[in-house]
Amino acid sequence: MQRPTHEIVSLSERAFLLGALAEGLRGDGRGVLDMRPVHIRLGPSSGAAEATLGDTRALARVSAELVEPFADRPTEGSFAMSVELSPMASGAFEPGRPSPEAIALSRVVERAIVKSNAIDLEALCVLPAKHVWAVRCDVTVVDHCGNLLDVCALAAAAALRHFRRPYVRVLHSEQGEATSVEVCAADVEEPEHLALRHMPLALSFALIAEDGFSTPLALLDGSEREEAIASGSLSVVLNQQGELCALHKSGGVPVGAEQIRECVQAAQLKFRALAKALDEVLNEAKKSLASSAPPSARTGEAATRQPPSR
Amino acid sequence: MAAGDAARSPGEGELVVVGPSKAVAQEGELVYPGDRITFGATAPPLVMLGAGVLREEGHVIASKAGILRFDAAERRLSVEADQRRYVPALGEHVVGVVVEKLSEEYRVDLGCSSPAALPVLAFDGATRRNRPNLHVGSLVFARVVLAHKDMEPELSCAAPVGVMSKDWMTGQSLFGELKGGTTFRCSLAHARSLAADDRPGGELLALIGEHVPFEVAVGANGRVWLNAGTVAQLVAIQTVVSRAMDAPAEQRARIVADALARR
Amino acid sequence: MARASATAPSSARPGRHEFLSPEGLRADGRRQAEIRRFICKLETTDGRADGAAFVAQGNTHVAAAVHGPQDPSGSTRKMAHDRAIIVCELAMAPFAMGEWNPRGPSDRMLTEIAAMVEAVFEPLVLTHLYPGSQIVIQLRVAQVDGGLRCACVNAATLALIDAGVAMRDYACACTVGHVQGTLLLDVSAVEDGAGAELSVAYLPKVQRIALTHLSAAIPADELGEMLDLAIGGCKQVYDALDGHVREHMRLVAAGYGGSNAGF
Repeated sequence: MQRPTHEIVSLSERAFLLGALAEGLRGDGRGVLDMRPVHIRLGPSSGAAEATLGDTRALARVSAELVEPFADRPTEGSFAMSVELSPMASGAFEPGRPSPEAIALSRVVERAIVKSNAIDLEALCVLPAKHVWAVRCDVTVVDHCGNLLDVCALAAAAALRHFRRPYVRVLHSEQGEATSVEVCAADVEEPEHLALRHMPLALSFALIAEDGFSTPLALLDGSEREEAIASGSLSVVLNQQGELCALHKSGGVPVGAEQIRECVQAAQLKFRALAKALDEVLNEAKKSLASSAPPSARTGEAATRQPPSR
Repeated sequence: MAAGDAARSPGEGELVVVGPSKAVAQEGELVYPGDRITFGATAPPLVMLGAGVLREEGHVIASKAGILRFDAAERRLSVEADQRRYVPALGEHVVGVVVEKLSEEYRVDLGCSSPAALPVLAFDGATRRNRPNLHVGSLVFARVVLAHKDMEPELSCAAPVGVMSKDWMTGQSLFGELKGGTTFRCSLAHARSLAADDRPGGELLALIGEHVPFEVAVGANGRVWLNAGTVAQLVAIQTVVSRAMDAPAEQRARIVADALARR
Repeated sequence: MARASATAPSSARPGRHEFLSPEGLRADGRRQAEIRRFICKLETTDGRADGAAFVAQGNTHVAAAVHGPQDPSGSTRKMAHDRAIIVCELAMAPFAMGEWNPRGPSDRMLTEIAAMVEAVFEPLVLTHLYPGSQIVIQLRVAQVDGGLRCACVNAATLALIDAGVAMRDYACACTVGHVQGTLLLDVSAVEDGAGAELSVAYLPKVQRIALTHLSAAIPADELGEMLDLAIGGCKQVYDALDGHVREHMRLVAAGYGGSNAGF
């Protein structure tokens, strides 16, 4: 029944939230390092996912099209990410050009995925210098109740792992030269998953300092109310390999180096649960896909085809 | 007035709803936009049209989906919708946040389309020299004294006629600044339920009160202020209210007892 | 203070595995934990700006101007009743990255960096001293050779000092690169392109970190070491920057009759 507060936070409420934190409690009864309940839903079509953290909700949709590669990288596909803060998510969001907040969100997630080489861009090449896949992931925030980055990254990760692009057959000329490509429909050839090396997930802390400058307290997964009184945030993006894919603290209240290390350690612990939740949902989807596939339509060859191994 | 293909003929003074789905509705039943509402049997008596009903071509028509209410004492007909956006109505009690301080008035955010004005002297016993000093961000509990679609709403913290007024200095007046505590938001229907002793929300608050003493001010604008002895109690009450509100009635007592027994 | 390194980014382009020679020298002759030549100037304009500065960190050159505290009229951003708002406008010369690439005002990278600069100085500037006003930081990037974010922060710090805007501390920024397993301080574009770059803005007197930004993945267990190295770099930047401010103020103060004793 609780509704997000899109108005200014009253002095009483601010004092209450700070007073509760002084006793190690958060306004909604969570502990300092507790996340809100996570839900991930996949489908209905491949590459669509919805992630929620408490009441914050984002939809992600992955799509791919065959394009001509950039001249300087003839064997690489591309990946682009965009986050839309839909006005339906919060009265504070306006339609039209993406706000600096939306740009920051999409850039942090995109960089964490691309620069950590999570997607094998060379595996997106179909015919060098002619046809490569341009993959894009569009995330729409539909309900803003705090901690957008984590939800956007989670939705994007789920959608990218769920996505299957059509199988492409390369046609050869009589001389054995690759000449053109043919995109196969899903009922002719089994679509393929993207070649992913790993998938980063974000864990963000709201930094709450009593006067906006004193040493802050870091709260994992800040709610909208907490973010309204927070003086900054620290986002830690990690992957299964124990790599730090982004460490995003864009100004705000300064923190000590030791506190950053502590946040990264706390995030590493929480990462496992989050990654496990995502794995379970994806395994479930894989199982139901396997059971629903009519065996007659799929040849044995297509069923065993795996994404190109590294 | 024809009751259409009424399943049964309405009794004296009973409300009749003519819609695609239903012929006769009792007070407290659901109506939908476009449903025609008439009084059965006798000629339509004089009624006041509240929120969610409007007169069109001689008929009274529901304009919102919600529960049909008829206040027999005030002869006021209204539809209670589960909306979240507040539209000020005369006499309602609201919880607002001061957003601006001007020399003659405070501007107060109620969550409605425009901020409301609260004159600096609209407190019992307030004078130019001696009046409450609110700040930007202060919470106030006030009543709506002017609500017109073309004008910005006006609030007052003075006691209405018929209620014993207490000087604001005593700190015991019904309206005024809400110090300490915290607020949460809920839908307007939930707020009305919390404010009524005989509805589930009011019963829930009474149930919580059996475990923990606390103060509450329910604003018709969907903002509820709570205060209790300790921060931990406040956190517990707030979570229990939001959890129990949507739970079935028979589980409420257990949810409340589980959450508050330890406090 | 950093030793001068006059190598242009285009010359002596190192191949793979040559970012640190066996003697512990980098392509431009620096050691591992050494920042590039840091040149800065205050009061670079006699024009309308209230403060101006120029920073060159190696071959990354940024000019900054500060207007304000001034009336926020005309700004699209909402003013705050109790403090000043900080607005950063960042533009880059079309040739700054080496190739002709004009970037419009809606460029995603520039928007992101401008928002970061605003957020770094928001808590650092004593904004509550200038309620209802805005402070505009104009940044112009002439050329980029790695560490753009850091040069922007350093230039903004100097321009704010020149404008006499009240601040709690300096913000000094420096990058540290993780290139082929080795950590290099204050990386150039070539070094950054071969690995990951961590930008850190540090407040030397408060001894806390205002900004971190990582450009690519690094092993999480090496973060601590990188942060320590980056803070060391920020301190080197601080020494250079602070030394120049003191020198500048000594000259200026002599002009209006200040004593040297205090500096």
